[in-house]
Amino acid sequence: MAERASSALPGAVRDAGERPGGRPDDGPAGRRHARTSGPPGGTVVRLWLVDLRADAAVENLAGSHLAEGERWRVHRGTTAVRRRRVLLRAALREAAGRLLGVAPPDVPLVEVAGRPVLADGGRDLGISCSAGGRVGLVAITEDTPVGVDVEPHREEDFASVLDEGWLAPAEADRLVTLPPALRVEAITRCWTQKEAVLKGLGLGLHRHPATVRTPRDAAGRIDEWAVDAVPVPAGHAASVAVRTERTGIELVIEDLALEGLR
Amino acid sequence: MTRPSTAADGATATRRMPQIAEFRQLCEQRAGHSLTSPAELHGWSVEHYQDFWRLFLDWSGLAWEGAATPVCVGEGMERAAFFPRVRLNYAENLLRPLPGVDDDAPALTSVHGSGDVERLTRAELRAAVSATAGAIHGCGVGVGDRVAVIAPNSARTVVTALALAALGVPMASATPDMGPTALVGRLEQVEPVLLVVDRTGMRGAGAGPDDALARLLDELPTVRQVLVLDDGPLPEDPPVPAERLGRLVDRTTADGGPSWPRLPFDHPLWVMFSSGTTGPPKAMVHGAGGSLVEHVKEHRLHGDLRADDVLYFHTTTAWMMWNWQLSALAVGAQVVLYDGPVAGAATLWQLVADHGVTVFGTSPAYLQLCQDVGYRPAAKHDLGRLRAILSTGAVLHDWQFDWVAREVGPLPLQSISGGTDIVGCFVLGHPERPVERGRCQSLGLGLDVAAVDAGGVPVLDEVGDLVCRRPFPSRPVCFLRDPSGRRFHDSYFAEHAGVWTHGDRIEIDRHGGSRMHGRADGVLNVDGVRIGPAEIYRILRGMPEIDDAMAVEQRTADGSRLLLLAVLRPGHAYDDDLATRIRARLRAEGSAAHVPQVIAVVDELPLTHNGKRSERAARDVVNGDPVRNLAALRNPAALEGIAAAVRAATTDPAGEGAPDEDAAAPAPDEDALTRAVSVAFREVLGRRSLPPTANFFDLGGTSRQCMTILRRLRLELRRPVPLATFLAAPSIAGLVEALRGPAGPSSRFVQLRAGDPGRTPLFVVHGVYGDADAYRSMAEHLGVDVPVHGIEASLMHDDGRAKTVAEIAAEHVAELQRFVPTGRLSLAGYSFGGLVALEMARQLAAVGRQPAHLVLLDVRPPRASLTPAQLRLRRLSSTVAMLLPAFRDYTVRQALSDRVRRRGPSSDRKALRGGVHVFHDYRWGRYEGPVTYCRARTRVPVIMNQLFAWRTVLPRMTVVDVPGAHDDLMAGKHAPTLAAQVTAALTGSADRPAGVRTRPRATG
Repeated sequence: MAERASSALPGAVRDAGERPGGRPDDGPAGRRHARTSGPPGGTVVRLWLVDLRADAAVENLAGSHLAEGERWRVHRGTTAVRRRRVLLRAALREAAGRLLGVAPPDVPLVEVAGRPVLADGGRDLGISCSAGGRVGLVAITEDTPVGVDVEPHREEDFASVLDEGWLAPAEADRLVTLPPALRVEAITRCWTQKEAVLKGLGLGLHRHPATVRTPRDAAGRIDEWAVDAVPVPAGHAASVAVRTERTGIELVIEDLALEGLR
Repeated sequence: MTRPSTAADGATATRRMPQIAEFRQLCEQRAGHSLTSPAELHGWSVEHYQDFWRLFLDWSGLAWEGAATPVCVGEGMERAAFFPRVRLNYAENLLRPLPGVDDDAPALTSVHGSGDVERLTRAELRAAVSATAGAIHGCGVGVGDRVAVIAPNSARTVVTALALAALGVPMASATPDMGPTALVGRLEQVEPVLLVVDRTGMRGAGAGPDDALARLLDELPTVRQVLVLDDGPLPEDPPVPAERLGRLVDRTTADGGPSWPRLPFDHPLWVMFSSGTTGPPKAMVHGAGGSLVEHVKEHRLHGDLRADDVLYFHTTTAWMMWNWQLSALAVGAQVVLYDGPVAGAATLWQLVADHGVTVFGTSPAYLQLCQDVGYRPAAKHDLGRLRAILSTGAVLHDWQFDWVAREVGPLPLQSISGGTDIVGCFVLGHPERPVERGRCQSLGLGLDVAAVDAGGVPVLDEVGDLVCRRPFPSRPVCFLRDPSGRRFHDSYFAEHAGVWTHGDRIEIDRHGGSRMHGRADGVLNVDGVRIGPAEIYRILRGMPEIDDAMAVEQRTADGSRLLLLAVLRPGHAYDDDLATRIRARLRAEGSAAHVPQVIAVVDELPLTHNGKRSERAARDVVNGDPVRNLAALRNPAALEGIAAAVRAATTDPAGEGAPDEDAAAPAPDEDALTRAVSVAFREVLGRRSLPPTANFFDLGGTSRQCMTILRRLRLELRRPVPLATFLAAPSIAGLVEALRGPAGPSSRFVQLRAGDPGRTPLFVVHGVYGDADAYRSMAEHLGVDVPVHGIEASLMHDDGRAKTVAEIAAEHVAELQRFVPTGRLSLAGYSFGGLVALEMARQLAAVGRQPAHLVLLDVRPPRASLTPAQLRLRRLSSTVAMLLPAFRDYTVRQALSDRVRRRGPSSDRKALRGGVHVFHDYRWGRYEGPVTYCRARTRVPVIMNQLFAWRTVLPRMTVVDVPGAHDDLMAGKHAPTLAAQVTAALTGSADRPAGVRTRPRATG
């Protein structure tokens, strides 16, 4: 009945080096802490974890990664929102740039319905970004769409959550039987799974989240999507969804330190 | 940063020698030395401007008579006049047969918004112009008169314009969609004797085209006759005679028409409008000769336009680029016109591809639109014939050059800029110079353009005022209603003595390349449409709340936006309603370009010592620039108030988290809707004050918080707020505007499937949360194409009390009777919605409108309707079900949810719990109509369905099984089968689903 507790996840995470055949890190920045989780042989999702608690200097540095014409678009909003957007976009450019072998500002990103997608580049990469609390996440897949979502846990009244109408009846059933201590995390987990699928579909909230029926556990399937939990710092939950017929997702996770950008 | 355009170089190699190279040889002969570089040629053309224009007139081969000397007479720039002994006719020069140009080749391709295309060869166009000139001449219109033309960018308009030019009758043109105030402000100065009008798209504030026309005629007393271009019925009872121009042409005898007189070089050709900072728009009279030689110079020398080119410049008849593109006929090129809307990024590229356009003119705004949506023109269209792109109307940014190179191709992208005042361009393309990103290639030949500092000293590589220091032919001949020439002087010669000050800011390099930096004065340039602040004041002066107003152009990262500073009369307060009315009025009386993006309410506007309002000071403050004329101000303190008001009104709340007690308190006359929406935003975002126009997501709102705010809004407003409504306008002001509309029937019925309107519609009733989203999958998979509407509603009374099923059903029935007054209808409902649907069916039957079908989707009998024995049985079954996970049912969740909810006392919990109580409190009654009951298969059989209880009140009930348990009955995976059963019920073939075709399940 209970979803797989997120506290169990770190145990599933191991250094890439420990796993036979671990993917080498082809990034130039010298931070080699790639970990993998999930079953080997599943569809590979590369994930970069960004600490959004950066100061103005890092924001400026990150800003230099952005393409012209993009800066002003991320520069709307409050100071905190702007910083979050600049850092996340810079991280996306850094990560995609490494995979494509181009400088971050040259990554051919365009916005479609407010979401960044790769315009070109010869490789069909699925990309998705999310920011929640102090955590930013960038997810990239080869040849298949991906969606990622991270949310901080919210202390909230469960009846209000039910009343928000985004939980399907079966989900509400599942959650109501959980002890309150576990329920908060399970609600966040459930939301991130829905949001990850909706982002993967490129629809976001243009499709009602109640129509996405989540699995019982942190990993599972939602229609043609495989979802899994992404290990993130305490106080947050994150999920990734990838459109695949395979059973599992193999996550290759790396920390991306923006202050080390060149 | 500079990147030579391979295209420009490549084009030079593969194309014929550019025309400018041929012309240079003539200039070198005259100069007696070589003029190798573009800068050298430009230098000579302005040093020896009289030689330059004389040589050009000869070389161009234009049709004229008289003597080309003297070239220029009059003292100084202000009074200079060119070619006083030359006589010519503009239309003759555009339409005469040209050597080497096929008279039967297309000259004009007029593409309509409808998709229809009209084509005219040079010969046909000449004949049409001749016949039209004859008809207009027959109306008694001739030299000395002026004519107004309100019409779109189409062939009929071009024929009319050229017919007027042929007769020597000056024309003022405007677009039908300009509001009456803007039209009158321009055209009344023209004192036209004839009004030629295409009423398509014409409008007034809430009035039809003929009302708008009547009002216009009322304000244009000089008009003696109206000629109608469109095919609509002639206006009834017009104050002056009205006739179709086409009919008139047909009736006019074809005797070759009147002659096309060659008239003096400066004979008026067009009246054009450019907005002054004070008073009505300037009505500038442009001469035929000046316009013609400038345009032909630009087309041939700077654009290298030839007879085999096809030019499309995206423009309207209210912009000087319309007149400019018309002159391409003089070089024998084909001109493409388009009078439809730009529906998206594809529109103009499609036009370019469809009509083999070789030179495409557009605006930075359109290119940015294409870039923003990720449009890839070269990948989508065959642009093989396209050889150059021109852009004007605003500053073209560096990245847009990159985008064009990447997504359109290696073509020269020419950023050109000039203005209505010279009906041409000061900076242009150049076939021999490379394109540098972000820069204009060349200064106009013969135009002594410079950037000067505040002291009038020329500067290089610095931003200065754009001036022209020597006479040129295409300056206005005069202004209307300016007999002394005072206004003309003040417009161009007051800022820097003895030179033409254009009002633009420019930075020029030593090679003649330049970068534009926008307008220098208070004239607003919104997407290429120039608007005088005065126009905006004139429109707003009619509003009782507005004491004074000033429109300012505020720089933004992607261009500029219109910002309105408003001073309110005492006793009036600013609210969203007033903002909406200000915008609506500016849209109706002016145009879309007149509508400000930001409105800031201020106490006073900056005034100079002699009482004139200082737009310049306001603009400097708004843009955060140092105020240059501070000493000239009577009330410099006003600037602080403006800065604060603009800060508050613009989206970026720089002082994030800073308490703002005043803003936190609701404005005294803030209405309930605005207050409720503001409260919901503030609570969810955890902020004490919020700008009304700020975007929820820009303020840090997340997707998850969207759900929270929708719930808050539903509780505050006691009506469902659809997610789509919120996402379409996620700001306080946007949402208030969206919700201000009718809250009745239109929001109660949500279309889930369009269906065949001729078939019996199906209404599906909301669940316990008041929304009908759960039915979407089922509606999608129906095998019968009926229209499907969801019924949504608030389930609470205004006092927070839950409505009973009977009350909810009564409301729906009343609205349904209004929504679909006659004809058959069917009802369906799942769970709670099924109970409401049943009660609705009963009430409809009672008024003689029994539904064709009632479909109940696993609706459990309400407790109040069960006998004690039935209740005992039900409790037993519930216990069994709880022990068998696969048989878990709605009741489990409901029971446990209720237990959770009981812990808190809040009113919204009470409301939610109310839904459950309402369900069980319902006492059913007998319903005689046909009912199909879809029973969830996954359930303890018999005892929990309690179908025997249902049968007591539904004698005509048919039961069918559907897959799943009660709580996932509506899930996507079951939708095809469920839809098949519902289809069978609706088509009267229940229990025979095998014969029903279902649609394949949609993926994703």
